[in-house]
Amino acid sequence: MTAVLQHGQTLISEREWVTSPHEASAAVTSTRGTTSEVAEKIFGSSFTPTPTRSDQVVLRVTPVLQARLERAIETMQRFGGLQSDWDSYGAGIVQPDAVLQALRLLAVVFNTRKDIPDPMIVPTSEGGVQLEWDRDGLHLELEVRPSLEVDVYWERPDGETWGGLLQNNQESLLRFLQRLD
Amino acid sequence: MSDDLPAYHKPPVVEVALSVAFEPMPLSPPLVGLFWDGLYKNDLPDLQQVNPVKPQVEKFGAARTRLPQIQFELLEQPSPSRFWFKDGSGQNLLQVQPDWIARNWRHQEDGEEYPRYPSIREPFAADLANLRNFVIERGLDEPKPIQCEMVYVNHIVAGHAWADWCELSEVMRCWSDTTTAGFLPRIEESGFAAQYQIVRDDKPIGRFHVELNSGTRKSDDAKLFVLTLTARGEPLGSDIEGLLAFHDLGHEWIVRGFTDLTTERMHEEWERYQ
Repeated sequence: MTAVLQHGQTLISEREWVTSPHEASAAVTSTRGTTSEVAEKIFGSSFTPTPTRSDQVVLRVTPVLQARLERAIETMQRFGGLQSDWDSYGAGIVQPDAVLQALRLLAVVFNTRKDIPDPMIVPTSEGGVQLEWDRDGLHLELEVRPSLEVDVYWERPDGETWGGLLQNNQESLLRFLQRLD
Repeated sequence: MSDDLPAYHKPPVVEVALSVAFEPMPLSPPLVGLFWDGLYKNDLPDLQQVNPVKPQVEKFGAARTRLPQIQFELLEQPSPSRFWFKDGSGQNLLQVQPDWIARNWRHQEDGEEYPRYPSIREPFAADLANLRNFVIERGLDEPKPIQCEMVYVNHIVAGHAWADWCELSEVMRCWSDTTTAGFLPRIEESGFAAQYQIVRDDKPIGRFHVELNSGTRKSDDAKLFVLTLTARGEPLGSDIEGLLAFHDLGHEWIVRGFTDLTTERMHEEWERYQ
């Protein structure tokens, strides 16, 4: 079973240009302190739902995955009740677009690795949504920002860490998700 | 169609797409295959099945701010339901899925002139009529349009007027390079997005979206700005003329908006004559 994303290419000329020469190389942030630089793209485009500002999302899944996603939706719906400054440190309200993008992303992850456990889902102080997995010393975070960019951070049991923006290289994502199965 | 619109001998347009979104129709893949076989096999012989797209619908007021809707579609297996009908050159494309139809034209060779809107509008009008007739002949309900869209993609390639992405103000009139205190260095790359309401009889009926990105053309590594202009909104009537009336309005917004947004220096480069 494979996820079918709602988004697809509609313009032919999309293939004729790239956003900039910089994006094709490392996409590493230094905001998490111990990140190591990598000169490769990380996630596959087939895993990366294209952000939209639509206020609807259709998740095309099997009945088994529907139950898991409904649990995630139930959690995220609670974020809608959070007021500004919900953490008493000036946090913003959780943006509906970020919730929808997190759901799309989660549907893709579930469809990619059926045995991956449910993540912990938490709001972020800047108004996004973070998906977290912990297993046997492995830690993975996918943070959907209000801008709909997705930050990735993972930490291995030996202390090695990696952080960066969600990019295009499906093999790297697969290898990491396999460890969480 | 308005005939006093700004016009250029060498506009930077590389792709045009006209589309209409419908209430979903029971257009199964075999039916789409019949549609292609009966009407398009000769002109658009290359048939491909691709993942569907979700048509965008502009919302206003309360409808825009309400809580997100989440739906599930249960699948036993993936079933790509969008079809591409392409011609041999890859210049003309018809896209068909149960709730959406689009016709794309793309620029292909240097020196080739943009064929102008009417020459894309005309085949799209025929596509809409073909689709309507096809579903009615099979005893299905008449297509119920919900949204029209028109997209122009422009590749503004570095040349005489600008050489680096930091020179966006040479291209876009609404952009300024100056800063308040002069702290920031030269812009490395830039982009922006804006949207405007299309209002008719004091009522918003659609939006005009502007998106600009810095980019590099794959074929020759040329620096470019990709300016995508989209007009999307309600059909101005449920029949084909009503659909095309929105596209005509969208075309006017795109052409006038393009001229408003870009500099006179670029107009000279694109050889504006009207």
